[in-house]
Amino acid sequence: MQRDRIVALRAFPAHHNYLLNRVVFGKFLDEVTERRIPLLISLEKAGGGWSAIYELLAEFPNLTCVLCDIGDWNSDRYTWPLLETYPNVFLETNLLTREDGGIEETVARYGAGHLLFGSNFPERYLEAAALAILQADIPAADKKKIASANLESLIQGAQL
Amino acid sequence: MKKTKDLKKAFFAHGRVPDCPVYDMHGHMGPFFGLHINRETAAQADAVLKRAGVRLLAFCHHAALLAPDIGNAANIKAVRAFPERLRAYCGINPNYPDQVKKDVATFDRYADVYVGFKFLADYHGVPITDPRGEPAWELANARALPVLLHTWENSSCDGPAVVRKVAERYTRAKILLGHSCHGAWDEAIQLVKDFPNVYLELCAVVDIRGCLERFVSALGSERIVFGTDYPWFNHYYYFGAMLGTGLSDDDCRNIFYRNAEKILGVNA
Repeated sequence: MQRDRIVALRAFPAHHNYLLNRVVFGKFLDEVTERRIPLLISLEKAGGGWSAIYELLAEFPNLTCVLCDIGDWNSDRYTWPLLETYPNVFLETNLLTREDGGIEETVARYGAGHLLFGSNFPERYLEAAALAILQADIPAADKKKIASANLESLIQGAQL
Repeated sequence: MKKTKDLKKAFFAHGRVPDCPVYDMHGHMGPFFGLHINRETAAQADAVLKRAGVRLLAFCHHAALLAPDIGNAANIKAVRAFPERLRAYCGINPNYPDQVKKDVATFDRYADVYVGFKFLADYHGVPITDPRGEPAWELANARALPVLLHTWENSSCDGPAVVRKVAERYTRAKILLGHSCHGAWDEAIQLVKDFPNVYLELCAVVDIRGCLERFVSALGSERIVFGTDYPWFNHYYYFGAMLGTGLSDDDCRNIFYRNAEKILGVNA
């Protein structure tokens, strides 16, 4: 990964027909956790839904896990408990920016430190997510965290 | 007033462009079952609209559509509290035909509130052709009022085939296809070609890359109106999506405000 400048992992368990859990991936995910390598999981594309995410994090509570495509509106019922429980859970923001007040509400409750900018390009417009972050009703320092600083920190913290 | 030349640059620099106001022709208000809406109240809506440079939100309160014991009173209360930026569609739920008749009969009493009617047929489980909704259609047709429909591909209540029936029958009402028959893009285009009183609305459309470009390529930009489903979607996200299409500033201006002003009879 270091040689090829790969800085994170993605998993699509349902699409690729496997279970992302301790029985199947215990040793591997223990090492991923130890090395603080970000694991990106898309709620839209990975399959398994929120139950699978909750089960995974219960087994690997310190895993650096970036939840992508988290859904609109009712997703806070799933994401907020995770932000309160697991220190290394991050949210990718493309659908948070699409939802009115999604960024502001999350930052007000949990700060900006666990949000990572995303656009879902090429399915959606880069400009949409970018303008929504630029004009969000949050401090400029928080916008910078979301836009770049949080991701840079994650990458720098990974032991490849 | 000299017009801003580069809308994308101006929106990204300032978030709003005074000489390019926005008319959001598809909005809502209030709580909704089974989920959390961040900004539910009329006061919150007014603050958001002011900050984003939205000149007017034409909305229908969720209660007017889904809580018949409250009904359109929620619309009236909201508009009269914040008349500068809010106007309402009179919500029509054909499951309550007596209420439909009453709302239509008292429509003129609320000339300061209403711009037209709103049907949410998929949610009501009643096709837009149902006779119980006819009083609203008749008035809209007689007055050439806007009727905002929720429209979705393959729906037996408000899919393109059903829309075609009301468009054939009501040729003067300004029929706004909320979500542009989502997914049935070619059928939506054909409806606009076939009926001069049918318009496309962009909520849940412009956030998918390529749809709006397809519409404008087929139809031009004069029969398309901007909408966000506020408070479901974020205005800046939708502005950014519009500006990400690469459409000309003239096309964007048509969609952001000129077409809506014509529909609403607003003197710019």
